Amino acid sequence: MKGPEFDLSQPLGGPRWGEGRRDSRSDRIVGEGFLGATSHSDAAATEIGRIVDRFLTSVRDSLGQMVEALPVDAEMLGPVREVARNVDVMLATGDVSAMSGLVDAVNGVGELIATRVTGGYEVDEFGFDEHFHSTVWLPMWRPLFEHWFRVEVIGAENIPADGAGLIVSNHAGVLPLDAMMTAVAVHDHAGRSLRLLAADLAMTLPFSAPLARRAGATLACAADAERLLGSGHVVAVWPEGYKGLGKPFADRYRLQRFGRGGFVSTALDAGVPIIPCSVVGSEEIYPKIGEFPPLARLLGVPYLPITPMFPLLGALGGVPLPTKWTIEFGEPIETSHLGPDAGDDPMIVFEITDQVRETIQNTLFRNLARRGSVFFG
Amino acid sequence: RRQPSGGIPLDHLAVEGYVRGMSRKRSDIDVTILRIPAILGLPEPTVFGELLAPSIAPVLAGYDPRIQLLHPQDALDALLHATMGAAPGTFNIAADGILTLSQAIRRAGHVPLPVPPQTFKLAVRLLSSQGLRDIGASQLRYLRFGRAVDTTRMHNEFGFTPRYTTEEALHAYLVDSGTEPLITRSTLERKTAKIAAMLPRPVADRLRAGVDTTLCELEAIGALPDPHESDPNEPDPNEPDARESDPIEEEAL
Repeated sequence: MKGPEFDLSQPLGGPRWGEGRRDSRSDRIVGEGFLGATSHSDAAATEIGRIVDRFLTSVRDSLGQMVEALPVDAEMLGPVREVARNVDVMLATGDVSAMSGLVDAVNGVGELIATRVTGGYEVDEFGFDEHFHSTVWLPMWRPLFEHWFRVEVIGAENIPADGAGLIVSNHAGVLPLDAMMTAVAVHDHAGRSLRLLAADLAMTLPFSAPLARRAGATLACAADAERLLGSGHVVAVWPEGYKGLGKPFADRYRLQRFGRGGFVSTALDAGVPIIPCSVVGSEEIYPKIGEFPPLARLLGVPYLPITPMFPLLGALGGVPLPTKWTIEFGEPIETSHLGPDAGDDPMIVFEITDQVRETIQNTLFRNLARRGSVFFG
Repeated sequence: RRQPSGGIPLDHLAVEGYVRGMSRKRSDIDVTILRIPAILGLPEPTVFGELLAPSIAPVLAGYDPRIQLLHPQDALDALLHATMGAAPGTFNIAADGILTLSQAIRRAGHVPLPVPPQTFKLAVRLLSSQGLRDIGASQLRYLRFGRAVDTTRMHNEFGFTPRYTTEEALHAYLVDSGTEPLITRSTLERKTAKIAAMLPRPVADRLRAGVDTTLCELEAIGALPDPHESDPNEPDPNEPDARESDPIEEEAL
């Protein structure tokens, strides 16, 4: 038995309607079946019929153009066609091997549900749940990473393949989507699970707190950072904090103050390399053109942004603009040769803080100059 | 760092302060302070232990505390160890391994029910069979954020290692207290059998095989409560199996 054929060279929507019908209609007068003779009203009806017909033809033509303009081509429908053919083969022959992909998917979902329902997963001392991270959290952000922001990752080889490292990145975009995108980039391009040092607010709010812990975040304090680096994790920190996240659109790609260099002394104490990370594209996802300080104070959040869309379009304003992103991981700055006592020397700490800041700022400018369009890269 | 505003945590802090003051004044007396975040065991089930008892356990919506549990025997051993010439000082005493509250409830085979914090006490009173003792502000705080402590000094300086990990302490408590799991291997198998009945046969076979391996893996971690261990009361979940095996025997005869 042969499978159903999908002729994708034709535009979608089946056989072109109207063509077959027009042939049969051309030799027929509207209202003929009701009255034996033609009259003025019949002529008028014929005229109306012609107008309707012309209108429908033009609509059909423009629809056809639209369907053709859509980027639906044979390549994009390939997987769909593949599944259809597999189902067909299985029904015809009873051979299950053609359906192995589907069965694996069903099994995967079943395993996921069984594991979550019985609590059969491990949680480390910071509440990081690797099973949740790799099967729920990252797949949730991956479509955004691949298809919405179309993130280009440069220099993933600078992330240590094993052992600890401290990724220091710029922070922007009102909501910390750059943290999620960096986590996906580090996982998919370097094979490491990224541990985040998150702001206090994210770790105390209901719903956000347990989720953040499961996804690998912990409180941004020296003790936790030292412990994470000591046990050989790749840790990410955003030293600009809310100052960077909530900066106005006019200040985009201008790095804010880098705290007091606490992250550098932590890295020096642990003797791990610092990897500067520059994210281009995150600044434009929610262009912040103003804010409501009193309401923000009332709600206990650091700022409440006004974007061209946010309070105006309500929930629709929560959709980030589809900008083209570039995440570049720079050359690691080694700290192990400076010794563990270097973290107490303010001169060394300031020097390295400045070096990291300069590196990120210069990489930002370079990638910005390379970028032609905000949305198409 | 926020100081406790009142209640039992403040008392703990005050007592510790007095003891530390005494040890400063009388340096000839060895003083050891043991800080134990949470004990889970039978003679005295804590708030946490009582939350594990009902089949539908209320939890605070939007929070999932991390917990570190110590078996009561380990707590006694730690006290004993402190009096037997271990190094004096202040030590955190906790078992290895961390669970989250919802994970512990799921490991027990129960279902966590998130309720808004305002109605938590009411929900506990309704759902818990024997009625929970009064939950104080400090315990509510613990049920929000939990507590995980660094036990490096306990291992290195105090020289003590608890015999039970957090998971083993939980398992021991579940066996001792005889809580009845709601979700067991057989309930999961029955659920998948229902789904498999709707699928074409070859797919269903593959599904069943996949479920079997998954369940075995889960059992190996100890995530699936095993009904065979509670010997005295005949386990319900085995009954359907017995019924299924009957016709086969009849055919054989």
